[in-house]
Amino acid sequence: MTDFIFRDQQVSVMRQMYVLFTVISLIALVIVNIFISGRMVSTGTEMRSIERAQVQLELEQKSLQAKLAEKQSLQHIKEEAKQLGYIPVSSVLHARQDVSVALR
Amino acid sequence: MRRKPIDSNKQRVRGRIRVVRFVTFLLFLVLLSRLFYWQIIEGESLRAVAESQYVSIMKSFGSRGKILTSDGYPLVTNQDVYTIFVEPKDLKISSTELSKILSPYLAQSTLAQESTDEAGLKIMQNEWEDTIHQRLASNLQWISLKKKLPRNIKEEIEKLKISGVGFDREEMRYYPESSMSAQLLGFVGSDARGEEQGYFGIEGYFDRELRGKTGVIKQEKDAAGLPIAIGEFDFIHSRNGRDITLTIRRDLQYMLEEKLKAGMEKYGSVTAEAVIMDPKTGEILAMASFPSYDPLFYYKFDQQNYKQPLASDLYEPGSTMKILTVAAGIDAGVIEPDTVCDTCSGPREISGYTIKTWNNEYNPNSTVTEGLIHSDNTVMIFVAEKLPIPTFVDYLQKFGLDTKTNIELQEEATAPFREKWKELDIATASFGQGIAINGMQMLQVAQVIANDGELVKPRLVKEVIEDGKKAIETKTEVVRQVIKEETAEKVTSMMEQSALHGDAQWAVPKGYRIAGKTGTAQIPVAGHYDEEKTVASFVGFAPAENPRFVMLVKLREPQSSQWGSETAAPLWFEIAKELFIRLQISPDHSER
Repeated sequence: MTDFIFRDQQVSVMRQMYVLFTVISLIALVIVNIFISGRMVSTGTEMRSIERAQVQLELEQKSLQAKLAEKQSLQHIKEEAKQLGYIPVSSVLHARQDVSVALR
Repeated sequence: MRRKPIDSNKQRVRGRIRVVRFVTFLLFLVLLSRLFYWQIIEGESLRAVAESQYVSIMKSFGSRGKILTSDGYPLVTNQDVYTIFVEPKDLKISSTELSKILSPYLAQSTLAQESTDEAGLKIMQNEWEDTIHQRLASNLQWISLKKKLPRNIKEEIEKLKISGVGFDREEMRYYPESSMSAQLLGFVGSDARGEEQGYFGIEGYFDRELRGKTGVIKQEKDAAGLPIAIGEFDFIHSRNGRDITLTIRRDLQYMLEEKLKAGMEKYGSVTAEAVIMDPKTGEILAMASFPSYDPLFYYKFDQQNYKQPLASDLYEPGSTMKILTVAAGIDAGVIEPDTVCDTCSGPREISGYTIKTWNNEYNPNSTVTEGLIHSDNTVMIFVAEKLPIPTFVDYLQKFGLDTKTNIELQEEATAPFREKWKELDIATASFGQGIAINGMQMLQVAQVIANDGELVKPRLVKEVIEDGKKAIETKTEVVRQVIKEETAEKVTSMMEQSALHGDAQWAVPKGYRIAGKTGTAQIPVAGHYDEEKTVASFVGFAPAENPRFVMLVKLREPQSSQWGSETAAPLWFEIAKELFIRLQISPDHSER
């Protein structure tokens, strides 16, 4: 008789344990889910901001390349040279290799 | 007796069960048919609706390829511009207020685009105020206000933080050297569907290569519209168009355009054209013509200016053609440079027509070289007559006058090549009349002589670049050996004499051996040649002993003088002087 009572108590404890384990597991899963969802949301925000930064940098690069090309344009260089006081070469002299330059 | 009620009860229950079964079956059938309707018939559209709620689809556009000079400098690149739009439902200010705020910016942008003076700013501002007001009066959800807004103005408007005002980005062509090489480059306009399309020049010829390809990015998004890192992701990459590197040397192109503009003004010509080529490789080093246009505002210019005339305009070359005639005669072995002309003491009568020299002066017993120096038509007829007609025609074809040069320009045109050649046709063709060619074909004739008799295909493209890597590299393409090497040498020497002792001898730079020939061709107008209007030209190459460049200069209807020797030739020599410096060609002191 006492044996039976002892077994019933054991089964009841086991059942309680199972229920407890299931509840804890469910809570843990919910926490993990919330954590992952949170991570996903923040990753999405991060991805969007990286995408935006990439587009912005590409635009910036393109704009700088255009500015560089403008500064390197021969028209611009000519104007700049004029402002600095350079004048076109009026005559070009060629030195011959077979004639010594310093005669004395 | 007592069993009967039980049996009837059972039967009633069974009947009810049957009814319930039937109703359940019917319900199940209805449910199935409804499921079939939602899943199979409406499934596709519902999936699309659901997908549109959690999937974002973005289009990305590849940029149009750049066009670069041989040193890698971009003659054409792209810049970002913006379309400013309004979403009236998000507007928190009145349309009157908005038009007052935006009009100065839009007027400023129009001012920059149309190069209008400051005085027009106020008028333009008022116009924009009215335009914005009118547009906002419509009941549309999305109203476009202005396209092609520059980035700086867009940023200024953005700083105002006006709710309901937004921007769409697009690209448009940008020319750092402004209108330099406009006719060579062509421009980008729109086709019938409103898509970008290259017209004329390199833009037209290489439109497919230059075009960017559109891509699509499909990405799962969350409720806030943000991308989900582990969600569905699908994409087709957009692709930038290929970049094209030209054989054009930027410094030479700039110099040529400056000289040509000055020459056009000096000699008062209607048009001015010039092209410089490396005779050994066929690379075009510079190519320019005026009047030109601004490719950014192409729609403001006369359409006549869009085409590169050196490839598209046909003209009678006149005396420059004489180099081909003597080359054919020498190559066929019927004459030598010192062969004496025994039919040159007066005008020639051919098929009932009288053919005279340009000055109606005659030099009996002059040699072929002297004939070339004095640009004597009768000497050229003498040479052509020595050749059987099919042989002369064969030389015209071998020099490439019957086909396109196949230079990479969309607008290249050639005249139909005569099928039957008569005595008179040959006689006039020998001195460049009655035969129409384009400038590139004339340049090709001189190139053959400069390159030991070998014809190479002229080319404008050095390489094609895809994703920063060389995709195609063009190489020198030898078309055929037109004349023997010895013939080319003899004709070079004759052309040298022609440049040195011809009418333009005063302009020849000292210390350089230059081979060239002047040309003055009358312009055919309504069935006869106009006495006043001419095409003055000079074609030649230098240094004669080892040609580094071959060049054609062509002036249409010069006013200061109608002769090539007094207009095109001096301009040619002036450009040549610059080329000697830029190509590092030192003078040869062992002058002939």
